[in-house]
Amino acid sequence: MQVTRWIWRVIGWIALTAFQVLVLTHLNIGQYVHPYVFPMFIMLLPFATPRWLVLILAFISGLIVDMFNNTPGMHASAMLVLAFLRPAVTRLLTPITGYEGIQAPSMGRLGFIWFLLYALLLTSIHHLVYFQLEVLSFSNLGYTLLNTAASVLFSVFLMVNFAFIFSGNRQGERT
Amino acid sequence: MRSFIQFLLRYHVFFLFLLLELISLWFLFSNNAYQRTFFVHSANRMTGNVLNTYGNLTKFFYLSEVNDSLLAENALLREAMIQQATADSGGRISMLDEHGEMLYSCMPAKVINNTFTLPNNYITLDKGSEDGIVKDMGVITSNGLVGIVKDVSPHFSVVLSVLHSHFHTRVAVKKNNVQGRLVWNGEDPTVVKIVDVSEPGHLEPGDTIVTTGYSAAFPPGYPVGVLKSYGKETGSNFYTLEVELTTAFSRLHYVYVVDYLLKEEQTNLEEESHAGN
Repeated sequence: MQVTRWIWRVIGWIALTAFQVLVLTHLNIGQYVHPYVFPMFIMLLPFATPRWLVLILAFISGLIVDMFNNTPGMHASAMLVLAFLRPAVTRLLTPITGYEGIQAPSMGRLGFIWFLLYALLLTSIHHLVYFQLEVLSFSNLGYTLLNTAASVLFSVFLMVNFAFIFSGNRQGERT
Repeated sequence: MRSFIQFLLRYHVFFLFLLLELISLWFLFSNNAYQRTFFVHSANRMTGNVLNTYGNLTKFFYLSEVNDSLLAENALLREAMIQQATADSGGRISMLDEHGEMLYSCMPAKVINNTFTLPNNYITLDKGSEDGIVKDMGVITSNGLVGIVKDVSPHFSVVLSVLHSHFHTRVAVKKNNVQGRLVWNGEDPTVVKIVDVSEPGHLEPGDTIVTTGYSAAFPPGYPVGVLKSYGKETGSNFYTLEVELTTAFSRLHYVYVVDYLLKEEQTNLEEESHAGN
């Protein structure tokens, strides 16, 4: 069972990355909206995944997107911060009943509101770091913050939609 | 020593985070300083092939649009042919000077990856060093500038887009040859600025902006855009011109890589005279 789940995760990771670099980066949604949804892969890893493994996976997935977007190290850095702070966010959002019996973050088991907050917090962390790194070689704080806020909203919107679609399709093996 | 190892083990997650973060930042900053990172760019084999395959799959959806632009381009080329330009069998187009000597040769290339919404944008082409592309060549479309070749691999090349904070080139207003430096402020992908203009004279919106011959990357007098507005910089004696680009970066499919055939001669001569001083 565990192996099947990981195979699904890898397929999901490849699909998200492909969607990110082939479609999303090229969409001109608006001057301020540059959504990044591939961090969702790291967000949905099981709670019990060793933290060093989460960090390494985040680093690799960030670097792959960097290669396609010619943004050396920017996505990798932002993904590492996300991966590092993930346990803190899960602790912050612990439901009253705890995470007992729940293996991985999912909308099906933890509810829409929980998932929305979880995605919102982690995406904000990721986007804030990423857009600040972009600006290092450029200056205009108000523009960056507006950029970050608009992009976070759009990214989370997409992530929640993905979560809806995929939790519906795999009822049987929901984690 | 033992306690040190215990300390490392206890905080191994934090140290791993720190190590990987330093590696990422090293990629970022070594690249900004124009040093080549060894693989973090889209001209490597893996990304190049993925992008090329995807480009072939989606090409179908742009056919009518590409058709239109090719028709327009054909018309332009026919016109240019009358003005002594010739095309050989490989699709290369040459621009000749008034004595019939070849000055520029343009090689067609397909855009397989293009961003225009980031503050620093790059374009990946499906031609590389095996097709004769070298670093610092200019890239144009039939009606405007695209960028300068930055990295080349055997089959792909990465172009530093006009929409990049490091892209600079000297341009001029066509009618009175008022010159300045073209820069992009990272916001609107259709608008660039010309800065450091000392005395613009009388300009009107709609005036054509063209390249100067100062950079070997672009042929002189090549269209860049049209003037939108201009004004004096506050607290300075210089004027800034706002220019609407003629290149539509959101619809970039085929471009030309410009090879200036006398580049070597020009740079050698310039270096010689600098050495002589």
